[in-house]
Amino acid sequence: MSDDDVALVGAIRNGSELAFNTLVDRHQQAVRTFLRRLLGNDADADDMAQETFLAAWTHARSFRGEATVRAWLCGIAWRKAKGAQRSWARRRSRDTAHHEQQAAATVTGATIEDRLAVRRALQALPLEQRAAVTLCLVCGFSHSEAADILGAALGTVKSHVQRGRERLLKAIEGSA
Amino acid sequence: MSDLETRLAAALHADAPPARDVRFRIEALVRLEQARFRRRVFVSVLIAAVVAVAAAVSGTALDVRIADVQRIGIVGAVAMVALLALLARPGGIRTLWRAVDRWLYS
Repeated sequence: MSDDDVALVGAIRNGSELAFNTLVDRHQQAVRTFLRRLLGNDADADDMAQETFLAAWTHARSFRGEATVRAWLCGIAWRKAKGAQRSWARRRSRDTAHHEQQAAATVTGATIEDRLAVRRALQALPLEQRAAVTLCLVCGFSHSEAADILGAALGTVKSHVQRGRERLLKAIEGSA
Repeated sequence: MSDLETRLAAALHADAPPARDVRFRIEALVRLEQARFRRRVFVSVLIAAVVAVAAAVSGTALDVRIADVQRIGIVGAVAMVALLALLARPGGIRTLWRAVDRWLYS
């Protein structure tokens, strides 16, 4: 765990805006990536990521240093996403076509077909499985870190990741 | 790593947000400022309400010989001390205050 990150949270507890700035700068990519994959809607995900950082400011005292700051932030994000699941799931089903178009328009290393196939397959996974796959395969957390973040058993997370990965690979295979 | 796995990794990491995003950071700061502003307004209104209630309740009980200005000053000071004492006390009020605080930041 980075001592620097722990010091940042300590400074946030004392009301340092500068520390908050640095925390956002340092971890926004991980939190946003996690939420974007989880929610399937970039705008909703970014909105929830901001709420996550605001909650980190308010709940800075709840950080006990048992996990990394990044894992703690993703834990907050996960609880927020789970709590608001019904509302964003409804919006997602309405906006799917638009977001797929948006995703296809962005130029990256992967082909458009692969990205759309993975996006659809990921959204078809159950929420907890999707979260486990995203944390381990996209955000680079270990299985035990993901288990802590999700508040799930280690075995459950391992099986979620394995099954999810198989489904994503099948989707990629089918997109060729 | 097989070809499929490489493609999966590339697809999963596609469209990631940038490592540094000034706009996102500013938006998060704006939200923080808005929440702090709401909190300050709430605290001011709460203090004003406590002082008003305390003044209304104890005003009649005070000796009429005390001048009006003195009376308001005394009641206000007592109300402030009572409020600060309640907030500093561990347990109930503090927990309640934290819950209100969380609600204001939500």
